[in-house]
Amino acid sequence: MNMPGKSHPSPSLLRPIRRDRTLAPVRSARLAFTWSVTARCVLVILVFLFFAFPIYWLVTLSFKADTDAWVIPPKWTFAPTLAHYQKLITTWPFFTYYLNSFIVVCGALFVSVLLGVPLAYALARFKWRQTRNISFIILNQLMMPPAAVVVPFYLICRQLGILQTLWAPMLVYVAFTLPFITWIMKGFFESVPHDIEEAALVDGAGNFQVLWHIVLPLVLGALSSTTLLAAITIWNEFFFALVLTGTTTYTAPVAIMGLWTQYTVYWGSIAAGGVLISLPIVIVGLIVQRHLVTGLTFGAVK
Amino acid sequence: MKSTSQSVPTATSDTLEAGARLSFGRRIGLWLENEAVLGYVLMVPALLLIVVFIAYPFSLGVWMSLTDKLVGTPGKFVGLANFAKLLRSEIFYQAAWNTVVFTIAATVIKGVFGMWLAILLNRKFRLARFTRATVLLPFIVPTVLSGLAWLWMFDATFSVFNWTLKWMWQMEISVFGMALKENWGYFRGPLWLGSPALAMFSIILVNAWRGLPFFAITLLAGLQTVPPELYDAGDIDGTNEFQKFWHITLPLIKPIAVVVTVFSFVVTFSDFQVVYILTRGGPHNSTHLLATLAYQLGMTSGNLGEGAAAALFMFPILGLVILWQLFYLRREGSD
Repeated sequence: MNMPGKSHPSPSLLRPIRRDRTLAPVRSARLAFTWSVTARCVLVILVFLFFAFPIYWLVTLSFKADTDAWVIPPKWTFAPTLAHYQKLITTWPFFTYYLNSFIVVCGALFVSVLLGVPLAYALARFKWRQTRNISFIILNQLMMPPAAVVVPFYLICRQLGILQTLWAPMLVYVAFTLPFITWIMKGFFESVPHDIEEAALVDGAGNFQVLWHIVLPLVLGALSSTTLLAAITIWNEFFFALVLTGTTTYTAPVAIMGLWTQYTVYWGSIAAGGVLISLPIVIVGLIVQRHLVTGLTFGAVK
Repeated sequence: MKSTSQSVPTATSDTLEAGARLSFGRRIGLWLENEAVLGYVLMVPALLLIVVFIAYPFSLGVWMSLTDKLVGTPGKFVGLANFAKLLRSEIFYQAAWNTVVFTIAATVIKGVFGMWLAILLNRKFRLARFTRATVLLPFIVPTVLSGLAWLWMFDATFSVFNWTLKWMWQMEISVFGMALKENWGYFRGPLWLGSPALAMFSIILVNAWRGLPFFAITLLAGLQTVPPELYDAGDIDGTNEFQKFWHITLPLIKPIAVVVTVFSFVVTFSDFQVVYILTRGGPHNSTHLLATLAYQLGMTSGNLGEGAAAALFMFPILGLVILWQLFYLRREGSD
């Protein structure tokens, strides 16, 4: 497909000399140091609060003793305690659920990448009528509402006898991740200059060798961004996991909701579990922020 | 498929004499040199999987919507009875209307604030990287967790919002120019999830909170492709900030903005988690969306046929998006 980003006037042509863009704002800030800078600071702080506060509030909840959590008005300062974490880990098979999530992510990613990358390459490289139709179908698959297929998936998994095993969510995640990886990787493959491939072909390399030795190394970084994005989505997935897994095979997000019982809501443990679930993904996500953004934007920006 | 007839003979005649001595692996390699063969070898496994795992469940869903299947019963064909039943029920119209309100409101909020945020983040300032990382946070953190965080903040008794409001009430601080003490003779905080209108507002807020990073970061990437010379030219012509945005920025990032908006629209339209965690459709079905209604009918009540029918009502709107794509992609180019 042609990405809309292409219709831009080519930035590289319009911008032969790339100027240091830091200069202009700093200079104007010095000139008008009063109002605009203050306003911007306030804005940035507000933005920061809006995005970070809910997370912050839950993280503090996980460290609050119940006597500090269940008070009116809410406490801003408290003596931190690890009691909830301790309780979560000792009285509850939390790490089993953690491991379940991990297995499901790895399994689904393995299959999706293994099959999705070749498909993406074929769709990007061979512009036949059929490949265009397939591209269009895949783009539409990305829009499939989970609610429309959850019941059929439930029945299929029951028929296959894999309901309440880890195979069930893995299968569903492959079904949703494969089109996703295909679509994004197709964009990356299309951005590899065709000249490179042709030069290699002229030098006597075969089609398959070109893919393996030349194109694939070029998109490896992009592939890792895409995979990471897919991993985050699967790790966080809740809807299908809720329907398809059972007591021993809950993935971590579903297990957390299990602490929300009919009688009590174990807020402290929920918060602690939530922090433990988010921790790996947040750490990885923030470390490779740049790659995350590449993956996130590639569908729209070239 | 012209290439098949052309390249297969060449490949075989080249290797005819050497054929006997070629190893199996080498033969496969030569066979893969054929474009058509390679193309299909690369595509078929994934396509099979997609057909089996998406097309089949979808067809099964369509079939089930035409039966009176309950959990554990085979179900028999009832034609359009499920659809007719839904169209006669009040809750369906409520859910459909809610879906429209929720999707449009959340998408507009995300679009406007996402754009604003992208412009803000595009400036260089101290802690810019840090702020960008913070903005990404709602996207990375599992929705279950952030949903629960909001639930805790909206909690009737322990709501941090209400206690902040109460504190402001006591301090006689005014909000949006209205003095709290005059408007509320005694203090009662709003029941964020307990009253229909506020509950709707709350789920839209949480959805927007979660979806904003995607908008902001994508649009930011778009903004960074706008050549700064254009703004300098604008300065020479004496444009103000708004004119620069309207006549320079917007036209240039429009293609990206359109794609992001459509994508977000689709995702918001089929959102399930936010409602499931915050309100489960309540109070009085005032926050039921088509997706949650389908789940409740199908999975919670075990009425699989009706649930499938409710989910299918989502497709007319998605169909419009697909038509738009056909049109848009065709216009965009020959690729």
